[in-house]
Amino acid sequence: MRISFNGGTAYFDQDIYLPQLLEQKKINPEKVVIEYNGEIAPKTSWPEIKLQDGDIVYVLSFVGGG
Amino acid sequence: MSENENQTNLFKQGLLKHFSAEQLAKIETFTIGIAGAGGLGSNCALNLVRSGFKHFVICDFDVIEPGNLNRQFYFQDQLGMPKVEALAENLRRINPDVEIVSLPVKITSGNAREVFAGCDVIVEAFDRAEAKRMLVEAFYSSGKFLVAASGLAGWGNADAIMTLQVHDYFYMVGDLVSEVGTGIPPCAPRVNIAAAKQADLILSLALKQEHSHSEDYNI
Repeated sequence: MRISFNGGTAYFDQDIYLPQLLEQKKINPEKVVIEYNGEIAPKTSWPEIKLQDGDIVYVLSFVGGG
Repeated sequence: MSENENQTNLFKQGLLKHFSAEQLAKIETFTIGIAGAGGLGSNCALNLVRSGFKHFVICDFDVIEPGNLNRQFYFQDQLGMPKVEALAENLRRINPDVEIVSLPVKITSGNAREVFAGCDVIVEAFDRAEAKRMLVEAFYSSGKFLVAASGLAGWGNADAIMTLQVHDYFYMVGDLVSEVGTGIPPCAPRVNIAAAKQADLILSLALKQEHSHSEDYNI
């Protein structure tokens, strides 16, 4: 399975859900929003989103300070 | 309505030296929601009021502490005051006719949409990354113009504080990486640059199709 991840390409040989994707990429889920196939995916929906071949995932990270 | 409404507003007279009446009328139609009245929010508000914006909903549940004075638009005699109260007071010193809804409440994923329902523009001006995440998620597809900030700590390399257009209604300002932490404090220059860039995006939105800048500015 091949997905587009933040403009690059990521390959997976087994089922993967959004929280596992973040874990693999060492991304803190508390500090990101995810655009999934052009739509914002609310954090509460991530555990239900199983990546499919051709998906486009864009993770936008925030750092503290203001 | 302010008691000054019927008096001559010298600030507005001054603004009309720089903007046409049509331009100012456009600016005045916008209602700006500001989530967080710290370094980003207080300074963004200052820039927006000076640019002619006059309708605001400002939310923050903090009071002013000495550690805020290095970068936030507050003064020593306001220590201990709720930030939203002090900010409204300071903004009215610039334009006495500014209309501000000051809400000393905590914004959550549960109330964000409701609190800012009447706003055309949302300024994400929180301190914590988790709060930024929550607000951006809430307004990402709301149709409201959203301006967030991420990456403004420390000093130096100020040109790295850039504007990222995520989609038509969502912009993010910052260098995206400089996080406040030990040895990397939030300092006035970089915080103000980010806040001013947030304000400039909103002014550009209000006056779109009227570019004052010679470059083809994409907004």
